[in-house]
Amino acid sequence: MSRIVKEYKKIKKVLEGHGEAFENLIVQLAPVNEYDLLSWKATIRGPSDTPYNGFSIGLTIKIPSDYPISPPMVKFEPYKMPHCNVNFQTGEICLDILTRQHWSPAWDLLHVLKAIEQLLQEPVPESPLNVDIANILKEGDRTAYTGLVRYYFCGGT
Amino acid sequence: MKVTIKEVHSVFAWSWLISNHAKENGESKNDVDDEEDVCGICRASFNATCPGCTYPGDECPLVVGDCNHSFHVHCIYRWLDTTSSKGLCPMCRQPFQLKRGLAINDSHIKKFQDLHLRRTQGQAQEALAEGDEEALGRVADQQSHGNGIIDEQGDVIMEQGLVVR
Repeated sequence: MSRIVKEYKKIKKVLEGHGEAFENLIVQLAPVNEYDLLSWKATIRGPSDTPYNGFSIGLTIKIPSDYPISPPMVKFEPYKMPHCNVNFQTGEICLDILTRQHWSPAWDLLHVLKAIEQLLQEPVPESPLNVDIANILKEGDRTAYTGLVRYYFCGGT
Repeated sequence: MKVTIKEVHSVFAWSWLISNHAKENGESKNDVDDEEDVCGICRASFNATCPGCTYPGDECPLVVGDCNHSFHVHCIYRWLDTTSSKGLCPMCRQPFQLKRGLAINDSHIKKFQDLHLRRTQGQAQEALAEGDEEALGRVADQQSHGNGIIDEQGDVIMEQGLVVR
C-alpha cells in the first residue's frame, strides 16, 4: 500500500520537474482525490507519428489492494477510444503487461503509461478488441485508419 | 590552547552492505532512481522496512538473488508466492533463486526451496487437471533447473509428474 504513496511522490517530482521522457506524453497523472490513492486519472497526448496526434486521451487507473503484486487496472475513460486493442464500449485495453501473467511488481504507473503510448504507436491487429479497426489496419489502409480515428475524436459516435 | 573534553556521545549508523554489492555488479544508482537504493517491489529503501514491518534490520532483512537483484525478503516472498510470478525475478525475469554462500541468505534458503516446490507442484497439478502436456513439460523443466538445488523431495515430485504424464 505504501508503495503507491512512494510512486505518487515520484510522479509529482517527475511531472513538476523536467521529466524528459514523459514531458511529451503525460498531461496529467494524479489520484482522483488526494485521500484515496487507489483511484487515479490520467491524460496523455496522442503520439506525434500516429492518428492520435493532437488529441488528449483520458485514462482511469484503479490500484488493487495488493498492488504492486497485482497489476493496476487501466481503461480508456471517459471518452471512447478507437484503437484495435481497445474495447470501444468499455475502454478495456488488451496489453500484456497489464495482465497477471505478464505483470512485474518492478513496474510502476509511469511504465504503464509508456507501454500504452507504445501501443498507440504500434497497434497489434492480430489480437484485436476492435475488429473493425483491426481489419482496416490489416488491409494497410492508413488513410482510412487516420480518418476513422479523427472522426471519432471530433465527435462521431 | 588547551582543550578539555567533557563528554563524548557515540553515534552509530548502520546500513545493509548489500546495496553496494548490487552496484559493483554494474547497476549504477542512476539506473534505478537518482535517489537511494530501494527495493524494486515496495520502492522503500533497503535500509528501511517493507510496508508490513515496523523495525528495520533483523526484523525485515534483505535477500540477494543469483541475478544480484536484492529485495526485502518479505517483498520477494510475497511475489514468488503467487502463481503469476512463475518464480521469476521481477527485475530481470530470470528464475529467482537465492545466491549461495551469502550469510544474509542462509537462513531463508529452506523457506524459498519449499516455496519453489509448492509453486511448481501447484502448476503441475493445474497442468494435469487441464491435460495440458506442454505446460507440464514446462513445469518439469522449471523444476529441474529453476532452483538448481532440487533436493531429494523435489526429485521424487518430478518423477511423479513424469510418470503420470
